[in-house]
Amino acid sequence: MSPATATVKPRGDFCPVCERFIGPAAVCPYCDEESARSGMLKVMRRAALILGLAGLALLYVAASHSTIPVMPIENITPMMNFAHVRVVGEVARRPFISRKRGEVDYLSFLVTDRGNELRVTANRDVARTLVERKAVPEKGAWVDVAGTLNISGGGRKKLRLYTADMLTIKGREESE
Amino acid sequence: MIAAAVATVLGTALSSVLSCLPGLHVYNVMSLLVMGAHALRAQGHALPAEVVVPFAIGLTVGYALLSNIPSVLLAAPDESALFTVLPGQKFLMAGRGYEGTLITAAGGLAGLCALVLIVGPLAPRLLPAAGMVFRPHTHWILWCVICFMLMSEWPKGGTRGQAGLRRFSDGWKTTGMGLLTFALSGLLGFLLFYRSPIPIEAAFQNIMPAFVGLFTLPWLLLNVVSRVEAPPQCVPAGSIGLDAMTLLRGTFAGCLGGGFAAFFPVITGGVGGLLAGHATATRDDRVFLVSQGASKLVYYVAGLLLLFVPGLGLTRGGAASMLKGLFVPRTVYDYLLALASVALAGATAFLLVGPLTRAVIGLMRRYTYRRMSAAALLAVLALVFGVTGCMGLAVMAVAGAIGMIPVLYGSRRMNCLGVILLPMACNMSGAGPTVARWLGLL
Repeated sequence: MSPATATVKPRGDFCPVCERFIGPAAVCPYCDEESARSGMLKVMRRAALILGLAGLALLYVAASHSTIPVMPIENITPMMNFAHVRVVGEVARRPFISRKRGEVDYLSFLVTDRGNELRVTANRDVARTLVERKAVPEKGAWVDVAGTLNISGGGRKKLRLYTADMLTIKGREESE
Repeated sequence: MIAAAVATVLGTALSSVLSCLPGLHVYNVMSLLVMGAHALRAQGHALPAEVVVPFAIGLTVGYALLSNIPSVLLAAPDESALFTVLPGQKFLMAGRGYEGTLITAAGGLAGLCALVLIVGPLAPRLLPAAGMVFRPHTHWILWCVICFMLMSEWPKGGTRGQAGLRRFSDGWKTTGMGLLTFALSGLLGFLLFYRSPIPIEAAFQNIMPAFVGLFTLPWLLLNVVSRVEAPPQCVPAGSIGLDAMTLLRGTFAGCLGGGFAAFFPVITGGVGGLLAGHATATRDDRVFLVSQGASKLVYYVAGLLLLFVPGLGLTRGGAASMLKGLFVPRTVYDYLLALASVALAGATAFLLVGPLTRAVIGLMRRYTYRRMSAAALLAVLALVFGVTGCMGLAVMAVAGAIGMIPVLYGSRRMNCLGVILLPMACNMSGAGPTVARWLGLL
């Protein structure tokens, strides 16, 4: 065996009294002595808690007050996969509704915007709610729909609805 | 075919070198390459699948096998190696980091053999049926895993001081902080899933700043702040003394954990390792390291391979999800190409383990542990800023503070996985949008 590195220095990971490895513990589990870095550890612990809680609260306030941007379908790129966007356009064909054991399980329709197409999908509860509310848009209807983008390799773009409230059927003039 | 082989070797070599940098995850590097490939495609220069697929597989296999080097020698683990840290640190502190790295890599190689020789031929027959059977049950399996993960963290302490509330709170401090970490990271996950502050143009990397913050940043920061110094590392001249039984036991546990994590959505290699460790009662440090090597490799590589299995088409893990944006495999040829690339990449990466471990030990001699961590920290910050901008840095900072909590309070870092486990488990149960509405995010 050949040593490959040079110096060994004392580490805060070791108990200052019994010199056993204690990792990040503030108190040595073998002899109950406080760790050498106990004071600094306390400060770091508090800082992590405060920063974590305050930072998350700030992110939450920022996120909950943000508006979902309207995205023209032609501007959607594969790097926007998983983005939360709004799309406004015309329903191009009759919606497709799939049922499983007699219950609505899946719903999809095609939205066009300046000649570009995007499939909007809704699963289970969302699809069921839309059908029950009679809020499924027919061919030619103008819709304002928000959801999460899902883009696969062949360039197929989908927008997934999370709730039925995220779909609004509009008059053409209203949407323009 | 030659182009595919060259792409595999190049991907593996690139990933092998990058894997030696602490804190640099292959998915972060892959995201940059995917951005480049999309930019090329937008200009009408689409890259052929025979180059893209083997290159991506080379990157993944190289990382899965060689990221054990910084995990053991520099203690900068990613989310799939949560358990390598302690036994790995023991080896490092005993000056046997080289040995620890090689044992882990041997586990990785054994996992790769199991994947190519056993799972590979059987997968197209078995996995589509297994997928059909498990799909309706995934949500409750995921909730069970979360419960087990939280409940298996036993309270530490509570043995000193006055009896009563003080001793009770001392006993529950670490566990309580673990639960708090899970809750905070879960809330962060909800924010990122439903109202991400990350710019839309980089939305495919929504979760990346959070992962860097939760798993990479705390270790790098602590390395820099705590002036950690590694003792001299020895390079054994002969065998590393790994017997067949240790290898078999570790590989079995690792493949079980890694396979479970790869097949079920959201569950990572670390969680799979925890379950397999309990299931197979893994105690010995060597078995532990072998199992982590195997688990990590199987988790990353099998997750990517599932995309190629004919008749299955499951997207598991970041690599598959990013690759799917460029190419959708459809034929048996694609599957066989992927399998061949895995074998070639595994062989190439394993040959690089010894030289690269010695190179990192050499670097440790020239530059202190602290300076290397500081350099890695700067690289990670630049990467997050480059891909996701200022908002990415903000998310990373918040995630970093949350990720520091388990490290500083001595609870499991795995609790940080709440960032994906909680929102995804809620989504799979159909409750995600309702919870998001309660939180005012929808």
